[in-house]
Amino acid sequence: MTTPDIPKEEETDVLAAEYVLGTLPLAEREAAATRLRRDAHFALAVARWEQRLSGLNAGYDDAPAPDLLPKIEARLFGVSPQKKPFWKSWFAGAAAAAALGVAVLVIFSPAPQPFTPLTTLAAEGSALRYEVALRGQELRVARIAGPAAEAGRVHELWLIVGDAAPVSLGLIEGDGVTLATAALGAGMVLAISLEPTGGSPTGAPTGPVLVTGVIENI
Amino acid sequence: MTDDPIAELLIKIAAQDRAAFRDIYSASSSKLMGVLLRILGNRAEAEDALQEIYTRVWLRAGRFDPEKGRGMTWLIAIARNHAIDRLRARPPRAGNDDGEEVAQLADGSRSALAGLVAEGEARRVVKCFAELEADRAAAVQGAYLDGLSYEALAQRFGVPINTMRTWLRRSLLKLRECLDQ
Repeated sequence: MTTPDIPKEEETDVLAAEYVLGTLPLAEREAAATRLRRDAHFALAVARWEQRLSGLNAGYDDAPAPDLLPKIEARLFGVSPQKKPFWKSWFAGAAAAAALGVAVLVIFSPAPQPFTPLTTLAAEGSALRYEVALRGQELRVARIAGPAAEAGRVHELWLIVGDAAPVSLGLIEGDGVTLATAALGAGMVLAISLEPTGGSPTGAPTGPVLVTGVIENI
Repeated sequence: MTDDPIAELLIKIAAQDRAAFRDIYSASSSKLMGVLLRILGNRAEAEDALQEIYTRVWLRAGRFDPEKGRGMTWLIAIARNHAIDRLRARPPRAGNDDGEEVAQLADGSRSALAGLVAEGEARRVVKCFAELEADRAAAVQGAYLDGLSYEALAQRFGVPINTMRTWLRRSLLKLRECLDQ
Protein backbone atom coordinates (compact mmCIF):
# COMPACT_ATOMS: atom_id res chain seq x y z
CA MET A 1 0.00 0.00 0.00
CA THR A 2 1.12 3.55 -0.55
CA THR A 3 0.36 6.22 1.96
CA PRO A 4 0.12 9.85 0.94
CA ASP A 5 3.05 11.87 2.32
CA ILE A 6 5.35 8.88 2.63
CA PRO A 7 8.13 9.22 0.07
CA LYS A 8 8.61 6.25 -2.22
CA GLU A 9 12.16 5.60 -1.01
CA GLU A 10 10.78 5.12 2.48
CA GLU A 11 8.46 2.29 1.44
CA THR A 12 10.99 -0.46 2.15
CA ASP A 13 11.80 0.84 5.60
CA VAL A 14 8.16 1.39 6.52
CA LEU A 15 7.30 -2.12 5.35
CA ALA A 16 10.15 -3.45 7.51
CA ALA A 17 8.69 -1.55 10.48
CA GLU A 18 5.19 -2.95 9.81
CA TYR A 19 6.64 -6.45 9.59
CA VAL A 20 8.38 -6.06 12.96
CA LEU A 21 5.29 -4.49 14.49
CA GLY A 22 3.31 -7.47 13.18
CA THR A 23 0.33 -5.59 11.79
CA LEU A 24 0.45 -6.85 8.19
CA PRO A 25 -2.37 -9.10 6.99
CA LEU A 26 -1.40 -12.72 6.32
CA ALA A 27 -0.64 -12.48 2.59
CA GLU A 28 1.49 -9.35 2.96
CA ARG A 29 3.22 -10.82 6.01
CA GLU A 30 4.14 -13.96 4.09
CA ALA A 31 5.41 -11.89 1.16
CA ALA A 32 7.55 -9.84 3.56
CA ALA A 33 8.92 -13.03 5.19
CA THR A 34 9.94 -14.34 1.76
CA ARG A 35 11.59 -11.04 0.92
CA LEU A 36 13.40 -11.16 4.26
CA ARG A 37 15.17 -14.35 3.17
CA ARG A 38 16.12 -13.02 -0.26
CA ASP A 39 16.78 -9.32 0.17
CA ALA A 40 19.71 -8.46 2.45
CA HIS A 41 18.83 -4.76 2.36
CA PHE A 42 15.32 -5.51 3.63
CA ALA A 43 16.69 -7.95 6.23
CA LEU A 44 18.95 -5.22 7.57
CA ALA A 45 16.02 -2.79 7.76
CA VAL A 46 14.04 -5.40 9.73
CA ALA A 47 16.95 -6.02 12.12
CA ARG A 48 17.29 -2.29 12.76
CA TRP A 49 13.59 -1.99 13.56
CA GLU A 50 13.82 -4.94 15.94
CA GLN A 51 16.51 -2.99 17.77
CA ARG A 52 14.63 0.31 17.70
CA LEU A 53 11.47 -1.16 19.20
CA SER A 54 13.21 -3.52 21.61
CA GLY A 55 12.69 -1.05 24.48
CA LEU A 56 9.02 -2.04 24.35
CA ASN A 57 9.99 -5.58 25.38
CA ALA A 58 10.07 -4.33 28.97
CA GLY A 59 6.26 -4.21 28.66
CA TYR A 60 6.09 -8.03 28.63
CA ASP A 61 5.69 -9.59 32.05
CA ASP A 62 7.35 -12.90 32.84
CA ALA A 63 5.05 -15.90 33.06
CA PRO A 64 6.05 -19.25 34.55
CA ALA A 65 6.90 -21.70 31.78
CA PRO A 66 6.56 -25.46 32.23
CA ASP A 67 9.69 -27.54 31.71
CA LEU A 68 9.33 -28.45 28.06
CA LEU A 69 13.03 -29.16 27.63
CA PRO A 70 12.65 -32.97 27.54
CA LYS A 71 10.17 -32.69 24.67
CA ILE A 72 12.26 -30.14 22.81
CA GLU A 73 15.43 -32.19 23.22
CA ALA A 74 13.63 -35.32 22.07
CA ARG A 75 12.58 -33.47 18.97
CA LEU A 76 16.03 -32.09 18.28
CA PHE A 77 18.30 -34.87 19.42
CA GLY A 78 16.03 -37.90 19.09
CA VAL A 79 16.06 -38.83 22.78
CA SER A 80 12.71 -40.19 23.79
CA PRO A 81 11.61 -38.62 27.10
CA GLN A 82 9.11 -41.28 28.10
CA LYS A 83 7.86 -44.39 26.49
CA LYS A 84 4.12 -43.85 26.68
CA PRO A 85 2.78 -44.46 23.18
CA PHE A 86 0.42 -41.71 22.07
CA TRP A 87 -2.32 -44.17 21.13
CA LYS A 88 -2.67 -45.26 24.76
CA SER A 89 -3.93 -41.92 25.96
CA TRP A 90 -6.00 -41.55 22.85
CA PHE A 91 -7.51 -44.97 23.32
CA ALA A 92 -8.29 -44.32 26.98
CA GLY A 93 -9.97 -41.06 26.05
CA ALA A 94 -11.98 -42.64 23.26
CA ALA A 95 -13.09 -45.53 25.46
CA ALA A 96 -14.21 -43.18 28.21
CA ALA A 97 -16.13 -41.11 25.72
CA ALA A 98 -17.79 -44.21 24.28
CA ALA A 99 -18.69 -45.48 27.74
CA LEU A 100 -20.41 -42.22 28.50
CA GLY A 101 -22.17 -42.31 25.18
CA VAL A 102 -20.66 -38.98 24.24
CA ALA A 103 -20.25 -38.08 20.62
CA VAL A 104 -16.73 -36.77 20.22
CA LEU A 105 -16.38 -34.03 17.70
CA VAL A 106 -12.85 -33.38 16.63
CA ILE A 107 -12.22 -30.00 15.11
CA PHE A 108 -9.11 -29.47 13.08
CA SER A 109 -7.31 -27.14 13.92
CA PRO A 110 -6.77 -23.42 14.47
CA ALA A 111 -3.01 -23.32 14.14
CA PRO A 112 -1.32 -23.79 10.76
CA GLN A 113 0.81 -26.90 10.56
CA PRO A 114 4.35 -25.72 11.20
CA PHE A 115 7.47 -27.16 9.59
CA THR A 116 9.09 -29.78 11.80
CA PRO A 117 12.87 -29.68 11.91
CA LEU A 118 14.32 -32.84 10.42
CA THR A 119 18.06 -32.46 10.47
CA THR A 120 20.88 -29.99 10.10
CA LEU A 121 23.39 -30.46 7.28
CA ALA A 122 26.91 -29.64 8.40
CA ALA A 123 30.50 -30.77 8.07
CA GLU A 124 33.50 -30.53 10.34
CA GLY A 125 35.67 -27.58 9.50
CA SER A 126 32.99 -25.93 7.39
CA ALA A 127 30.93 -22.87 8.30
CA LEU A 128 28.21 -23.97 5.91
CA ARG A 129 25.01 -25.22 7.53
CA TYR A 130 21.60 -25.99 6.15
CA GLU A 131 18.46 -26.51 8.20
CA VAL A 132 16.07 -29.09 6.75
CA ALA A 133 12.44 -29.17 7.89
CA LEU A 134 9.39 -31.08 6.81
CA ARG A 135 5.70 -30.23 6.56
CA GLY A 136 3.59 -32.96 4.98
CA GLN A 137 5.03 -33.41 1.50
CA GLU A 138 7.09 -30.23 1.59
CA LEU A 139 10.76 -30.24 2.42
CA ARG A 140 12.22 -26.87 3.32
CA VAL A 141 15.96 -26.49 2.94
CA ALA A 142 17.38 -23.21 4.25
CA ARG A 143 20.97 -22.06 4.53
CA ILE A 144 21.45 -20.86 8.09
CA ALA A 145 25.19 -20.26 8.09
CA GLY A 146 28.09 -19.99 5.69
CA PRO A 147 28.33 -18.61 2.17
CA ALA A 148 26.15 -19.34 -0.86
CA ALA A 149 27.73 -20.97 -3.92
CA GLU A 150 30.02 -18.63 -5.87
CA ALA A 151 28.98 -17.29 -9.29
CA GLY A 152 28.71 -20.04 -11.89
CA ARG A 153 28.08 -22.70 -9.25
CA VAL A 154 25.06 -23.97 -7.38
CA HIS A 155 24.33 -26.10 -4.33
CA GLU A 156 22.51 -29.32 -5.19
CA LEU A 157 20.63 -31.47 -2.66
CA TRP A 158 20.92 -35.27 -2.78
CA LEU A 159 19.14 -38.09 -1.02
CA ILE A 160 21.21 -41.19 -0.28
CA VAL A 161 19.45 -44.37 0.79
CA GLY A 162 21.70 -47.18 1.95
CA ASP A 163 24.18 -48.15 -0.74
CA ALA A 164 22.10 -46.86 -3.63
CA ALA A 165 23.34 -44.03 -5.86
CA PRO A 166 22.43 -40.51 -4.67
CA VAL A 167 19.18 -39.12 -6.06
CA SER A 168 18.98 -35.40 -6.77
CA LEU A 169 16.17 -33.65 -4.90
CA GLY A 170 16.84 -30.30 -6.53
CA LEU A 171 18.95 -27.16 -6.72
CA ILE A 172 19.15 -24.65 -3.88
CA GLU A 173 19.06 -21.13 -5.24
CA GLY A 174 19.72 -18.24 -2.89
CA ASP A 175 19.12 -18.88 0.78
CA GLY A 176 16.89 -21.88 0.45
CA VAL A 177 14.02 -23.62 -1.28
CA THR A 178 10.95 -25.63 -0.52
CA LEU A 179 10.82 -28.88 -2.48
CA ALA A 180 8.26 -31.64 -2.89
CA THR A 181 9.64 -34.61 -0.97
CA ALA A 182 10.30 -38.13 -1.96
CA ALA A 183 9.40 -40.67 0.74
CA LEU A 184 11.88 -39.97 3.50
CA GLY A 185 12.73 -42.33 6.31
CA ALA A 186 14.98 -42.64 9.31
CA GLY A 187 18.59 -43.44 8.45
CA MET A 188 18.52 -41.79 5.05
CA VAL A 189 21.23 -39.23 4.36
CA LEU A 190 20.84 -35.77 2.85
CA ALA A 191 23.90 -34.21 1.25
CA ILE A 192 24.74 -31.03 -0.61
CA SER A 193 27.31 -30.91 -3.35
CA LEU A 194 28.79 -28.04 -5.32
CA GLU A 195 27.76 -28.25 -8.98
CA PRO A 196 27.93 -26.07 -12.09
CA THR A 197 24.96 -23.69 -12.60
CA GLY A 198 22.01 -25.72 -13.79
CA GLY A 199 23.00 -28.66 -11.64
CA SER A 200 25.04 -31.81 -12.10
CA PRO A 201 25.30 -32.57 -15.82
CA THR A 202 25.54 -36.32 -15.21
CA GLY A 203 22.75 -36.95 -12.73
CA ALA A 204 25.28 -37.93 -10.06
CA PRO A 205 27.22 -35.54 -7.82
CA THR A 206 30.24 -34.24 -9.72
CA GLY A 207 31.56 -31.57 -7.33
CA PRO A 208 32.71 -31.89 -3.73
CA VAL A 209 30.17 -32.88 -1.10
CA LEU A 210 29.97 -29.85 1.20
CA VAL A 211 27.69 -30.87 4.05
CA THR A 212 25.64 -33.89 5.07
CA GLY A 213 23.06 -34.86 7.64
CA VAL A 214 21.30 -38.03 8.70
CA ILE A 215 17.53 -38.17 9.16
CA GLU A 216 17.28 -39.54 12.67
CA ASN A 217 13.58 -39.83 13.14
CA ILE A 218 10.64 -38.73 11.10
CA MET B 1 33.80 -10.30 27.01
CA THR B 2 30.25 -8.89 27.23
CA ASP B 3 27.65 -8.09 29.85
CA ASP B 4 25.17 -10.15 27.87
CA PRO B 5 24.96 -13.70 29.27
CA ILE B 6 22.21 -14.71 26.81
CA ALA B 7 24.45 -13.72 23.89
CA GLU B 8 27.27 -15.84 25.32
CA LEU B 9 24.94 -18.82 25.59
CA LEU B 10 23.77 -18.33 21.99
CA ILE B 11 27.36 -18.39 20.78
CA LYS B 12 27.92 -21.69 22.62
CA ILE B 13 24.68 -23.11 21.23
CA ALA B 14 25.84 -22.26 17.72
CA ALA B 15 28.77 -24.59 18.48
CA GLN B 16 26.27 -27.35 19.40
CA ASP B 17 26.69 -26.98 23.18
CA ARG B 18 23.70 -28.78 24.70
CA ALA B 19 24.42 -27.64 28.26
CA ALA B 20 24.22 -24.03 27.06
CA PHE B 21 20.87 -24.87 25.46
CA ARG B 22 19.53 -26.05 28.83
CA ASP B 23 20.87 -22.91 30.49
CA ILE B 24 19.24 -20.61 27.98
CA TYR B 25 15.92 -22.35 28.52
CA SER B 26 16.13 -21.73 32.28
CA ALA B 27 17.26 -18.16 31.76
CA SER B 28 14.71 -17.08 29.17
CA SER B 29 11.67 -19.37 28.99
CA SER B 30 9.57 -17.40 31.47
CA LYS B 31 10.17 -14.18 29.55
CA LEU B 32 9.25 -15.84 26.24
CA MET B 33 6.23 -17.49 27.86
CA GLY B 34 5.10 -14.01 28.94
CA VAL B 35 5.41 -12.81 25.33
CA LEU B 36 3.52 -15.82 23.97
CA LEU B 37 0.70 -15.70 26.51
CA ARG B 38 0.16 -12.03 25.90
CA ILE B 39 0.01 -12.38 22.10
CA LEU B 40 -1.70 -15.75 21.80
CA GLY B 41 -3.91 -15.44 24.89
CA ASN B 42 -4.09 -19.20 25.28
CA ARG B 43 -1.83 -21.35 27.42
CA ALA B 44 -1.99 -24.56 25.40
CA GLU B 45 -1.05 -22.78 22.20
CA ALA B 46 1.63 -20.76 23.99
CA GLU B 47 3.26 -23.97 25.25
CA ASP B 48 3.16 -25.47 21.78
CA ALA B 49 4.72 -22.29 20.38
CA LEU B 50 7.40 -22.30 23.09
CA GLN B 51 8.62 -25.71 21.95
CA GLU B 52 8.71 -24.54 18.35
CA ILE B 53 10.65 -21.42 19.33
CA TYR B 54 13.38 -23.22 21.29
CA THR B 55 13.74 -25.69 18.43
CA ARG B 56 14.43 -22.71 16.20
CA VAL B 57 16.81 -21.21 18.73
CA TRP B 58 18.92 -24.37 18.57
CA LEU B 59 18.86 -24.51 14.79
CA ARG B 60 19.37 -20.80 14.15
CA ALA B 61 21.79 -19.78 16.90
CA GLY B 62 24.50 -19.55 14.22
CA ARG B 63 22.68 -16.58 12.74
CA PHE B 64 22.83 -14.56 15.94
CA ASP B 65 25.30 -11.70 15.72
CA PRO B 66 26.23 -10.10 19.07
CA GLU B 67 27.41 -7.00 17.21
CA LYS B 68 23.87 -6.33 16.08
CA GLY B 69 22.01 -6.54 19.35
CA ARG B 70 21.41 -8.26 22.66
CA GLY B 71 20.66 -11.94 23.00
CA MET B 72 17.32 -11.44 24.71
CA THR B 73 16.21 -9.04 21.98
CA TRP B 74 16.98 -11.75 19.40
CA LEU B 75 15.05 -14.38 21.37
CA ILE B 76 12.03 -12.14 21.81
CA ALA B 77 12.04 -11.29 18.09
CA ILE B 78 11.85 -15.02 17.28
CA ALA B 79 9.04 -15.50 19.81
CA ARG B 80 7.02 -12.50 18.61
CA ASN B 81 7.40 -13.45 14.96
CA HIS B 82 6.27 -16.98 15.55
CA ALA B 83 3.33 -15.93 17.73
CA ILE B 84 2.18 -13.32 15.20
CA ASP B 85 2.50 -15.85 12.36
CA ARG B 86 0.15 -18.12 14.29
CA LEU B 87 -2.23 -15.28 15.03
CA ARG B 88 -2.47 -14.12 11.41
CA ALA B 89 -2.98 -17.68 10.18
CA ARG B 90 -5.94 -18.22 12.52
CA PRO B 91 -9.26 -18.45 10.81
CA PRO B 92 -11.39 -15.35 11.45
CA ARG B 93 -13.27 -15.40 14.77
CA ALA B 94 -11.45 -18.47 16.09
CA GLY B 95 -10.66 -18.49 19.77
CA ASN B 96 -12.44 -15.28 20.71
CA ASP B 97 -14.66 -17.00 23.23
CA ASP B 98 -11.69 -17.40 25.52
CA GLY B 99 -11.80 -15.66 28.88
CA GLU B 100 -8.06 -15.11 28.99
CA GLU B 101 -8.14 -13.35 25.68
CA VAL B 102 -10.81 -10.93 26.84
CA ALA B 103 -8.73 -10.16 29.90
CA GLN B 104 -5.75 -9.53 27.66
CA LEU B 105 -7.69 -7.04 25.51
CA ALA B 106 -8.92 -5.17 28.56
CA ASP B 107 -5.38 -5.02 29.86
CA GLY B 108 -4.05 -3.76 26.54
CA SER B 109 -6.43 -0.82 26.46
CA ARG B 110 -4.59 1.00 29.20
CA SER B 111 -1.39 2.65 28.18
CA ALA B 112 1.12 -0.14 27.80
CA LEU B 113 3.90 2.23 28.67
CA ALA B 114 2.45 2.78 32.12
CA GLY B 115 3.95 -0.59 33.01
CA LEU B 116 7.34 0.05 31.48
CA VAL B 117 10.31 0.39 33.71
CA ALA B 118 11.96 3.46 32.34
CA GLU B 119 15.55 2.38 32.23
CA GLY B 120 18.15 1.76 29.55
CA GLU B 121 16.66 1.10 26.13
CA ALA B 122 13.17 1.53 27.50
CA ARG B 123 13.81 5.10 28.62
CA ARG B 124 14.48 6.27 25.09
CA VAL B 125 11.38 4.49 23.84
CA VAL B 126 9.25 6.16 26.51
CA LYS B 127 10.57 9.58 25.56
CA CYS B 128 9.98 9.03 21.84
CA PHE B 129 6.49 7.62 22.31
CA ALA B 130 5.65 10.68 24.38
CA GLU B 131 6.27 12.79 21.27
CA LEU B 132 3.45 11.00 19.42
CA GLU B 133 -0.22 11.79 19.85
CA ALA B 134 -1.53 9.64 22.69
CA ASP B 135 -3.90 7.44 20.67
CA ARG B 136 -1.27 6.79 18.01
CA ALA B 137 1.33 5.86 20.59
CA ALA B 138 -1.21 3.49 22.15
CA ALA B 139 -1.93 1.96 18.74
CA VAL B 140 1.76 1.27 18.02
CA GLN B 141 2.23 -0.26 21.47
CA GLY B 142 -0.92 -2.35 21.15
CA ALA B 143 0.34 -3.69 17.85
CA TYR B 144 3.77 -4.51 19.23
CA LEU B 145 2.86 -5.93 22.63
CA ASP B 146 -0.47 -7.62 21.87
CA GLY B 147 0.07 -8.49 18.20
CA LEU B 148 -3.02 -6.56 17.11
CA SER B 149 -3.72 -6.46 13.37
CA TYR B 150 -4.67 -3.31 11.49
CA GLU B 151 -8.21 -4.61 11.51
CA ALA B 152 -8.30 -5.06 15.30
CA LEU B 153 -6.66 -1.68 15.86
CA ALA B 154 -9.11 0.04 13.52
CA GLN B 155 -11.99 -1.49 15.45
CA ARG B 156 -10.58 -0.53 18.81
CA PHE B 157 -9.92 3.07 17.83
CA GLY B 158 -13.07 3.42 15.71
CA VAL B 159 -11.36 4.46 12.47
CA PRO B 160 -11.28 2.85 8.99
CA ILE B 161 -8.48 0.32 8.41
CA ASN B 162 -6.73 2.52 5.86
CA THR B 163 -6.76 5.46 8.24
CA MET B 164 -5.25 3.27 10.95
CA ARG B 165 -2.55 2.10 8.58
CA THR B 166 -1.72 5.64 7.58
CA TRP B 167 -1.54 6.66 11.25
CA LEU B 168 0.81 3.89 12.09
CA ARG B 169 3.08 4.31 9.10
CA ARG B 170 3.52 8.01 9.83
CA SER B 171 4.00 7.33 13.54
CA LEU B 172 6.70 4.78 12.74
CA LEU B 173 8.63 7.30 10.66
CA LYS B 174 8.42 9.84 13.50
CA LEU B 175 9.59 7.21 15.96
CA ARG B 176 12.51 6.31 13.76
CA GLU B 177 13.61 9.92 13.60
CA CYS B 178 13.49 10.20 17.40
CA LEU B 179 14.97 6.79 18.21
CA ASP B 180 17.89 7.17 15.81
CA GLN B 181 19.06 10.44 17.34
